[in-house]
Amino acid sequence: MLLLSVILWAVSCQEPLPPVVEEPVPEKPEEGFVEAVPDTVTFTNADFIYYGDIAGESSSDDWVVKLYTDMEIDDLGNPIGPGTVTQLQLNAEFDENQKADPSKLEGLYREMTNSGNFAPGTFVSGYMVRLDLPGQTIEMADGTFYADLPDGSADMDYDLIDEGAVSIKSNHDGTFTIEGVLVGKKYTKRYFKWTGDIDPRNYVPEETPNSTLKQDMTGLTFDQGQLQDKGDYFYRMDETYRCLLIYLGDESVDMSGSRPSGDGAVLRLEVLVPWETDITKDGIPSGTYKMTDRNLDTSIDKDNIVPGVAVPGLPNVFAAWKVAGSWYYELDNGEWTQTYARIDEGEIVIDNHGDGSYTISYDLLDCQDVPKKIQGRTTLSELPVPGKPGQGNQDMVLDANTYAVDKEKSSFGSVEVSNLGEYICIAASPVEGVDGFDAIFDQDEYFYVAISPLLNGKEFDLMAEKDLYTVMSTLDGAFLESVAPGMTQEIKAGKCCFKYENEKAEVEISLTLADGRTLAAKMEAEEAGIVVNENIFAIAGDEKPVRTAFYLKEDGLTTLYLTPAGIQYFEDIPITTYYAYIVLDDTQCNGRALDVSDIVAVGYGDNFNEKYVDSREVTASGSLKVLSDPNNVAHYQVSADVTFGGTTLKLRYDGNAIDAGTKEVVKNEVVYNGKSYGITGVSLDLQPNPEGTCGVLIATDRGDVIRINLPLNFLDGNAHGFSQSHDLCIEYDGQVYSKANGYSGTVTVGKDENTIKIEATNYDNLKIIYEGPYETVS
Amino acid sequence: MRDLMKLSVKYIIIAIFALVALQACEKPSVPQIPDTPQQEQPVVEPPICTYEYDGKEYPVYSVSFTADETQIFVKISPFKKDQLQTTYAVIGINASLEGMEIDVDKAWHNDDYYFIYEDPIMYYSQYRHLQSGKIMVKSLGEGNFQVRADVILPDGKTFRFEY
Repeated sequence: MLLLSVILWAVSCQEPLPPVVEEPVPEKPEEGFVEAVPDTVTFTNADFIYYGDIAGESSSDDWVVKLYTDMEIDDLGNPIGPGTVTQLQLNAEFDENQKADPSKLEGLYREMTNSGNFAPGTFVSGYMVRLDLPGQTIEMADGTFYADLPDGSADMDYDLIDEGAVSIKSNHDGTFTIEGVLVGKKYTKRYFKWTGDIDPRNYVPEETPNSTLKQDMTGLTFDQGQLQDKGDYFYRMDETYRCLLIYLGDESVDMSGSRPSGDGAVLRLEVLVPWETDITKDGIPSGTYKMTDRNLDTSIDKDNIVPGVAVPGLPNVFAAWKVAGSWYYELDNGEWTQTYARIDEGEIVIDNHGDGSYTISYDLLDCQDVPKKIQGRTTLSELPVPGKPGQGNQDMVLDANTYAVDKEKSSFGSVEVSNLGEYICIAASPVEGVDGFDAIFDQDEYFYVAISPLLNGKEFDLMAEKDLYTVMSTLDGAFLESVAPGMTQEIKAGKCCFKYENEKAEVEISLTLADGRTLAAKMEAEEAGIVVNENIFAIAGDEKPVRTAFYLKEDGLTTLYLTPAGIQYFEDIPITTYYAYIVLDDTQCNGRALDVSDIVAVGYGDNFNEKYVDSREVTASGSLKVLSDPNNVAHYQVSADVTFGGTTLKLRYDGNAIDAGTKEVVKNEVVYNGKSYGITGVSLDLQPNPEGTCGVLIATDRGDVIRINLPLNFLDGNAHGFSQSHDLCIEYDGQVYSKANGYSGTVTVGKDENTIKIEATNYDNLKIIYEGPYETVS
Repeated sequence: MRDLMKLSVKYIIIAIFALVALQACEKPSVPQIPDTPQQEQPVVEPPICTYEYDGKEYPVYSVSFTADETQIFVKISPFKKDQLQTTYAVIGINASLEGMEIDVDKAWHNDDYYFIYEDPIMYYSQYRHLQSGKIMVKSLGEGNFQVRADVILPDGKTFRFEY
């Protein structure tokens, strides 16, 4: 230090000026200088939790270390002061085995350089979290923090740590020493030390197995069953098959709803039968149903979705309302126990006796590396169909615009249909003369159903449906806050058929509420102008509406892009979740069936998983049709079913596409405190400086200048957050917006020889958009 | 603790290099961790001047300046230059504001002005925002400067220094 001081610091020989004396008069210095002596807290207790690679970047592992002094613990498990607690959230060396290995904790930890950088050797800054509990909200610290507990109190006086250093070292005798000094929002240095054994708890979630069977299950018989019609479950939309769901269950299983509950074993089987099958008349056609092939990506090829096959279980989906395909599971009070198996192979033999009775034999294998057998035979005198006439509240014959709560009929006085976005909605109230869709919701009692256009015309099971729908009710005796996919706690069972065509909506719905009451309704209303988006985009059976299409015509080729994202400009394709494209000759856009090999290319992009597939690079098969409207250059009809190595791509589109050459019109402006100002000039200050930074100067018609300071390598056209560099800031109107000053912000600056493009915001009161000429100062 | 000390000194060295190189936006040192608590120093000669922190006046036994075309820094410490300066303050300004009184409320933190204070108990790094106050650094020529700082620190404590 002395050497550095002598060499590096200039020495002033200036005679000292008299000390400033101002009110209040400070205490006079003693002769010489006595430096304060810091206290070091020696922690005596420690708790180590290993969370593993929570960032999912394989760069570091998350550990939480809690150190605390000896304290009394109250009945609720809270420590009672006096005492001290610190929590360290550390980004430690990555362990590819995701094991809680204390040796991986060794090292020096400093603050993260930005909130997205989980590099090993850093700690996560402290922050407050709010927990909303019934009747109260609790605020508590998380990340890295320090807290004192006053004598007799469980209240923690937090100091959120964001600077400092922590060292963890092995003592080579099985113990470790943790010591350091941390500084937080109270600017006080926290010196601490702990020595002891590290006995971590591993909180890395274990991969859930798809089968837990330890031995073969043979001689399995069941006492009851249920049959459901799932219709065109895989959306082939060609009426070539129908999916039937068969539940077989022990006597103790409750089969009264659409999903088994209660206790006992359940065999869930899905078989595909001819489309014409009417289960209420025909039941299940007799025959042998062999498990069809499911691809590694869980999809099923179109060629394998045919009558006469059974459907293997859908892997890794365990939620009761989402489970699909064939499974064996055991229930305890309606919940899955740890005994279950996803069925992957084998066959089911149905012997339909023609009088409603069946003998069902099953010789199945689960999905384990060494498969376990699920074998047996069940004979049932009947296989009830939920919702079949004569059961539940389906025996209620309702007139149009009436409803029944527990079979007590009432009438709707007002019914309205509307679009909310692309969703089709119907709302009804017992009150007559309500004018307008929105006004329905001003009534004390109303009933509301909304569906995704994908559900239009389909009868769907509310407990199992995955496409979006919502049901709400304030009808007396049948209150439903919101029923939607995954939010079916308010009902036990439900079916709905919502059909809108020829400017008329017809909705029939039948529900069994959680408390056992029933609600059925039938609504009809005419309304012109309802838009039904029937355009479909599906990768591996995951079906979504097409919301945007683009076309590009160049060199005799037509390229069509379809995406479920609602975007306006072709340049935004890279920020969509999915998109698909077809490249073909202009002359092929004639509506005739084409083989994939006939066209230039078809492919899709999964930006979320960074997966990009192109028929020129992988094996692809299938057919497609593209028809361009000779009277409307933007109008296209597309139908495509293409399989890429097991992954299916399905496209259905009939509508206008946007010219991919349409450019976004950028309005150059500065928006400051809600007001828009013009930009009168932009210059780039490239004058050399030791920081390796540059400045972008933006003159506004407000008569002032905004300066954006940024590292030279940030002139790359990419978005950079304030947290990525201490040198990145926006200076304007006497304020510096930077991470150091506690602001968030993003700056994008890209340039070529003549044009500079700037987008910058502090996410508060300043936004800059500019694309145009600039001058360089150097 | 000894290893931390080594690292701490390393970072202090880096920080000083950074200051000398006038890289004002580089993060300064990890807070210093004294190897052993500092005891009363055997300093008997009169101080160069004093500074006030949190209402108490302390002696200044070393004052160092560094400056270039863009920035001017002053470091003061109650320790002499040949001692480990575990208590110190750094005051800096943009050279273009030399001789001007800078109102930290209106000026740009870490650009128009800089401030660090550290002792064994407290640490206000470069990234902590001063609440208010004024700073002035004026060149008197031949490497001499006049310095005045009267600021309220982020936690409301006062810091005053005039030289």
